[in-house]
Amino acid sequence: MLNDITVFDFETSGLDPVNDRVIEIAAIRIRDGQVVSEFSTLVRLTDRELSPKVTELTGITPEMLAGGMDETLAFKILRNLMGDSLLVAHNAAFDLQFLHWGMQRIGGKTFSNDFIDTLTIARDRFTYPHRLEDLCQRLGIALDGAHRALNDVYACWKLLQTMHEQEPVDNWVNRLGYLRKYPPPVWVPAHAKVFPTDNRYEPKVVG
Amino acid sequence: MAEVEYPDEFGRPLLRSGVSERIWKLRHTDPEAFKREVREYFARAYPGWTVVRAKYPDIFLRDDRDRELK
Repeated sequence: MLNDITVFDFETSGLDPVNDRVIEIAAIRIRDGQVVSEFSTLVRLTDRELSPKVTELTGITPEMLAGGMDETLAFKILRNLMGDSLLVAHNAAFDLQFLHWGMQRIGGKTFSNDFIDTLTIARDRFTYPHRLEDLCQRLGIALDGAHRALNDVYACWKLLQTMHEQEPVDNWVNRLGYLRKYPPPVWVPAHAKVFPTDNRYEPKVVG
Repeated sequence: MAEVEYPDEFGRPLLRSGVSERIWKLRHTDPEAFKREVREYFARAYPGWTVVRAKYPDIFLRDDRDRELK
């Protein structure tokens, strides 16, 4: 099932997939456990300024973005790299929405690839917290430079491999959990099975 | 073995990336400025990666981050 996958990640200018923009794309295509293609680019922001908060989180500055690839070309290359492979992302609800709206903007299309959300699996298997860097630390996975997309992509792939070795992840294809205390994602792929979930916490140690 | 796209000398894929259309236009009008801007851009945006090839619309990068740490 994991013999042809694309692990991808976006850094974005904000949290709104309709009105904010992707500022960095990274994706790796993996066939039979081997990375066969790598893509990573910064994406030029054309009609807005980059928030200092985003720079603080990602290290990506307006000067870096000024020389970046145009959005249309970046999404076309990503679409070509993905092909029909299984998509993998950590917090896929976020990245899949940005992918959808990016594709809508450039050509009025969307995607129909199956997907796996490593965050949904992690919430089922591990206690809080579930950020990528938290899970990497818990499972002994190296993650240098979190919140730059290519580093996060490789960490996400290793996380998926580790969780799959612990217990096969086959049953998690197209399943998308969202925290019950928040509303479900505004947009999800038509083939997604969306369900509410809760964080589990380690019992408090008293005394 | 799966076929690797754009392999380096060790058979690993080069990182496919790119730059803005403004920089690409320099390739025809001022090739030296194009090379300089591409090098400077990736030094700033992807430190530790080395530009090895440019073929529109792709710039191919080699991961030299480990080498920089030594």
